[in-house]
Amino acid sequence: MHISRREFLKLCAATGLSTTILGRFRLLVKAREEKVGVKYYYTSCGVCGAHCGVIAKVKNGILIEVCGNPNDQHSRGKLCGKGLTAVQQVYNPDRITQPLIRTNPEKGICIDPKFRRIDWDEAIDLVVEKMYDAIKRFGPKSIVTIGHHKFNDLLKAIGSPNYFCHHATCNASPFVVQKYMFGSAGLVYDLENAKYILCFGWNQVGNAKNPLAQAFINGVKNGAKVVVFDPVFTIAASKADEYYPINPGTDLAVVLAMINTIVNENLYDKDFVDKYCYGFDKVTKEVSKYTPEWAERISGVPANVIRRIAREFATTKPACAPMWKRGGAGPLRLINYKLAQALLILQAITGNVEVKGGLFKPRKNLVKIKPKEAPPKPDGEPLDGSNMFPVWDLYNGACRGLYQALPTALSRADYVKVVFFTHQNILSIPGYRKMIEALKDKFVVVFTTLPDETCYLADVVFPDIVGGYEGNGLTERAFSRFAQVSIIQKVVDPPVKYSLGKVKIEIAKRLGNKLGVNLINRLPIRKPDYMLKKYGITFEELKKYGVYPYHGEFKPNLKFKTPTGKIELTPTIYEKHGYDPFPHWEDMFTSFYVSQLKDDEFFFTTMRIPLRRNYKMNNIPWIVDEDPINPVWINPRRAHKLGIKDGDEVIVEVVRDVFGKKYSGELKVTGFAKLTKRVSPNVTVIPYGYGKWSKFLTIADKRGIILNELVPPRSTDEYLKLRIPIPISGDADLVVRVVKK
Amino acid sequence: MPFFIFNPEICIGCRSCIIACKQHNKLPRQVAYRSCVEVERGEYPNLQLTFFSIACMHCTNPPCMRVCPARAIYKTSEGIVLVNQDVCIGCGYCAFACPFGVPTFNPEGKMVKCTFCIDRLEEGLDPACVSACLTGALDYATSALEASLKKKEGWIVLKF
Repeated sequence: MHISRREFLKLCAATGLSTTILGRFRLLVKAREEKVGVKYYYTSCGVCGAHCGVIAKVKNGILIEVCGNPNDQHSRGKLCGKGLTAVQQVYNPDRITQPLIRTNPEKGICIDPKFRRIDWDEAIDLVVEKMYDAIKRFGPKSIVTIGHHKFNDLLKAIGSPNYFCHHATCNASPFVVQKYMFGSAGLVYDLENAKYILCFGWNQVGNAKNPLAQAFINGVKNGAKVVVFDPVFTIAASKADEYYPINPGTDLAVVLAMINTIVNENLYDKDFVDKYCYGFDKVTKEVSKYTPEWAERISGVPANVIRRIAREFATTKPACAPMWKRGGAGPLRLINYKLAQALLILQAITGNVEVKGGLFKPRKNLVKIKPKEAPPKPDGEPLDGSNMFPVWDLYNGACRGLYQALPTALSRADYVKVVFFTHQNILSIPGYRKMIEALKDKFVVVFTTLPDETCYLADVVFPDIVGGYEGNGLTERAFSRFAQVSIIQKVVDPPVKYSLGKVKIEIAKRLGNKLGVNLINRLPIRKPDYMLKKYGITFEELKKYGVYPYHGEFKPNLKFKTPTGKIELTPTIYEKHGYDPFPHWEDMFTSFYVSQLKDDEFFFTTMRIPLRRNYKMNNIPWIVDEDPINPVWINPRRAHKLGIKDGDEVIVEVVRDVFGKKYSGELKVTGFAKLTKRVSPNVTVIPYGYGKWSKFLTIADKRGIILNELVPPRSTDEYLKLRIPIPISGDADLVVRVVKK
Repeated sequence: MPFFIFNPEICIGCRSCIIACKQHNKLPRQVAYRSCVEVERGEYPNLQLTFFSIACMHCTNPPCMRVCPARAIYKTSEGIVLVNQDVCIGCGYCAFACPFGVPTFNPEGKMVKCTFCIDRLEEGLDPACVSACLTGALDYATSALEASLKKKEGWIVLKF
């Protein structure tokens, strides 16, 4: 008998599917949810920036289940494993709900701060007092905030230049380059409709970045040819038609050789280049020395393969060479700002811009809110020296910061008195141990949902709401050709009295009174209906749909907000500030060659695992059960030579870094080896987002490796010496030694 | 009779199915009805990497049911294998008999396993794991005929 799914489901529903027996016997599957008291709300997931649409099932005021919102054109009604843990994010056993104040003056790793609960108003008053004192004595620059950009408004209103965001370790290299070449950052690759997908380390499908993973797989289903260059056999590689192992950090050489082939063989899109591109002459001239034979010597990829793939990429249309945040062209390697530029040149000269299946500028229609009163001129220069990188600072003015240089910079800045950490785990900062030393004599205020490691340095801890479920808001994310706004709704009553936003306003009010200025007027106050003006919908109406796409035909938008009005293959801003406008290969960024590796030395790299996102997922029981620790990935052949077996305890220590500094065991971690054929014999991988030492977290596994134990703190001067326009972190530019414990 | 069917070609090993299952069935710690197996074949760089998402197969002739001394394991008319929690004595014979290592034991010591989300089927919904699968790699067929048609398209029919 053949019955369709619909009929089957109907049949099940009609017969009640032995409900009577089940009602008695199902233990874990709790009794069928009563229809009374159950309500469904639309909201958006708060785990990552994709903000997938969510339908939240709430029973008697308690969140019981979440699932994807099928109206969402990006996430298509699905949520990744991280998003599905919403219930455990909201009702996490370790969650704090009351402000805490330190009673033990001694700060440090594993030293119990002996927290005492205090009242909300009392805590705010204390913070305002400290801020007022600091501003009076040292000026507004003595206030620093590290973390979420939401809090930056307050710092700007006060006139402090010291607000820092994590961009240098996250999305800086793709986004800044995109901004200067195309006039807008966060470009969208239409992988779903592409016929050719060329990935240089791009592995968003392996991170389970929901909209991108689905688009990629749909592209594969639609018959796109996928080619992957990566030293690790990633999930993207496992779905690829062709996979090429490449020496770590040498992707740029291959891309330059591909541009060389396309230019020499006249395979580029002449009409498009003439009409919309600036700087092609320079590209033609400079790229001539980068032959595929040269690239073969550097990258280990055969020259004939480079030629063939370049030809295929140029002649198959539409095609994409994607990049997104970390991973492909991300800030894991210093050279990657050049890789991002080279990949965008490749995309532009083949004419795969603003066509279906190619590259798009993000469509955004939310109206930006400006404060009533313009903030004052900042008091001095940012302490990390961001302003000395003019290209970087012009783009990143809103959320600046050299995260990797912050520990050094903070320890030198005596005038800093109050430091805010807003949703930022200190473990995410490269060289975090130095940061702890720097913070010991500062007044530290922490906003968090979980009592993580940052709380060990806090003088005052403010609990916050869980993003996506306990506060209202709007979000607009570009993952497809059409703009779309999604709602963030309060679906359950938060266990905390004030959210971060409320505390910010309270501080502004009280501090303003003390200083005699109206700080509230300098803050942008969100008005949802006004922001939604271009969509032609109100916030109340949006509650009915959850998401609302911008209606209308798709129109290519070939106006570029750059100084020349064209795609700047060689950005004019680089020339203006005296930087090299062409992404020339430079040996100094990857001074490590395979031949220089000693027997027990490896190139280091890191990647994200589907169920992990930095430290946000570190204390979720379902996730810790499924994926408790991050092992050290080693190729079995190489491990055999070193006498390492699967599951052995190993020590990983840094030998040298990209700046040529040598280390002898200062930076090391202990972990468990995982022998896997998925890595090149020259490379070891440690996934990130694991490990803990906070004793307040009862679920996170302390055997996990804290990756930033390995990443050395850096200084702004080192970056200035290299004369790079975009000082990205380069976390993975390390050579490590792996020894059996 | 429902069959889980699986397409390893498009599975990305994201484990959404596992978390969705845990969420829907409100599973306690250390209990999972579904697991994800990673298989590496070949040598680097000529490697094949595949994932398999596996739960109870709801066998036609379940070995667990045959060995259960308490007769706690039974099969519904729709072909779904269930455990009567009131009767289960937690002896663990089913775990020995099952070729796939499906039976797990909850903190009370009773055997628990995939129920094919029978409660969701009643409401006219797909099982939690199927509806959570990001890429559509995990699905189910409702009859042997449908399953065999899918098999020709490269799907794996998870039935024993």
